[in-house]
Amino acid sequence: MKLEDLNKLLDKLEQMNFSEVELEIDQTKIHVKKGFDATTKQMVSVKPEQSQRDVTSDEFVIKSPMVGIVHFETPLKNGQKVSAGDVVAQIESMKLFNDVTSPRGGLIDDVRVQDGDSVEFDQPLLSIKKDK
Amino acid sequence: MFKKVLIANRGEIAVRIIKACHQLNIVAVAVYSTADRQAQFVRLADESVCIGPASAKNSYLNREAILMAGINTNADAVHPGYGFLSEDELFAQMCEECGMTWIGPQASLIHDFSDKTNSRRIAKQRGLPIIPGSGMITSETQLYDQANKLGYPILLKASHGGGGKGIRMANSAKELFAKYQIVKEEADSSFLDGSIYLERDFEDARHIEVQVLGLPDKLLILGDRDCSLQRHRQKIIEESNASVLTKPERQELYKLVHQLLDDANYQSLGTVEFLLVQHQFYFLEMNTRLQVEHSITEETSGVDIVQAQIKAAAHNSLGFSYVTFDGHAIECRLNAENDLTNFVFETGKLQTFLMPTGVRVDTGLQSGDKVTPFYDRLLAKIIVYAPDRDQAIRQMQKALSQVEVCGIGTNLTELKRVVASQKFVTDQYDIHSVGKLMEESNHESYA
Repeated sequence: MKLEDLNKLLDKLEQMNFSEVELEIDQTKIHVKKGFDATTKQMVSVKPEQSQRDVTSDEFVIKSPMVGIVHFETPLKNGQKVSAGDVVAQIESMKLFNDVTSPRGGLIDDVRVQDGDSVEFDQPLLSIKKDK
Repeated sequence: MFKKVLIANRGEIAVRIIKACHQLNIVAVAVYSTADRQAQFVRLADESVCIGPASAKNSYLNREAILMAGINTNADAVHPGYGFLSEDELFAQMCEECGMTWIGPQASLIHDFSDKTNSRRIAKQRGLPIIPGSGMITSETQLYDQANKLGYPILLKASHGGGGKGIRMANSAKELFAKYQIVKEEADSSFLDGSIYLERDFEDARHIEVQVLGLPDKLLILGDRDCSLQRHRQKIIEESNASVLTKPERQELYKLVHQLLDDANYQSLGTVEFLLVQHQFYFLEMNTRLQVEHSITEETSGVDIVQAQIKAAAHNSLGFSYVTFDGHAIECRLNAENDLTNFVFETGKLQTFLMPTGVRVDTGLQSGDKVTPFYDRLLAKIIVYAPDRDQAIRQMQKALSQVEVCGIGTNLTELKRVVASQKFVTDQYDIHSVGKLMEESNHESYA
């Protein structure tokens, strides 16, 4: 995300009625907290919350988009190469299978669930490391 | 009895249901959105499943996600609480199809009694007086025709509305279409159903409702409530029993309830709502679910209504076959809306959240918690119980004086004003009293 875009976003957020918000755009997490004192200009602190590891190793986590049961058509192995758009897993919900695709290419780093596990919304499934 | 119950709700009512489950030795499963990750009800539950993002549409109204949470945790029943999917016949049916008991009436009864256009038709067929109104409005021409026929002021109501949502008053034909669109939008987003009907607005009426529990062999009446103190059609103070009723009036009221439900084979908890206008009852609507204000009836009847509802769903014996009433109970709903700024929904962190001691408080919040803009405004229900109404009023006045909330605005001033008002103390109020009282006191403060 460009600095210019970030400024635009903050201007927009400042006009809205909330005290604290967490946003995730592309791979950037933004945490904005407004000050409570209405007499002074509202305090806005910005803290990119991508974890240290994610920033340095360019790793990101694929999370479950829904409650369901996770299925891997073929077992995933650490170090296995994936391209952007590849189906990495499927989540079964109400007997329907929903593809989970990787938003970018890289190497599978850490598969955190097993075939047949029940998963909740937002649960980390696996992480993808940049292929160097 | 059930082994594990999934609670398809949040906040204070999820806390209430979890407690009832634990008292019945049932494992409680909470489902929650990402906005409620830190909420008390999630911590109190034995198991919990995140079902979606903050928006209710994708979490607490997401039928598939909730059912999958039930399947994954092996729940054998689903308690829907109030609001959200509690009167969704499709969801009730889906629960049964997934092998989980729906803690509520069967889908066909939700269809008949929860849908307001259907229930009005059935009530009329069974000889209950109903408020003059229209059938389902399906076109703009029909809207104007029906409204002109009924006269103004008129109420626009969503067929699946409730809790102050999906209801607006129009004073003239000029206002009609704009209000129609607002109600339609609210109905679509909150109840997943946009059907709307019209109803005549009564100036001077009291809202009286009857709490029932249908059993296989009979319909138990658990008491009545007066819920006339409302703002924007949303109840804020309720009393049990309705002290305004005379003995013959109460007999007439219960007779009407039996007339409506005796042949319906209604086997669950429900509330039948009436307007009382000049000693005449008009059927208003029925709620086929647990209600926010069930707590005051628990106080005067001594029945744990949530436990009784769960037992009835499990076809277990209730352990009692009749109900007696004693004393008087009052509930005040403390909401996250600032009575100094026209009741705008206030969100943010509860820096201080001090509730009165020695009285019943039902809440899902504590100091340090955040109130998010995604769901309802209810912060806490303050419930008092005393041998008579006068003592209950004094207890409520004392209880309200102990409330302290900092961080977000509340309607505490409004509650205090109403409870101290002559109209309330002398039991001489109607469904428009709260609005009038607040207007009067605002004028006084300008003078």
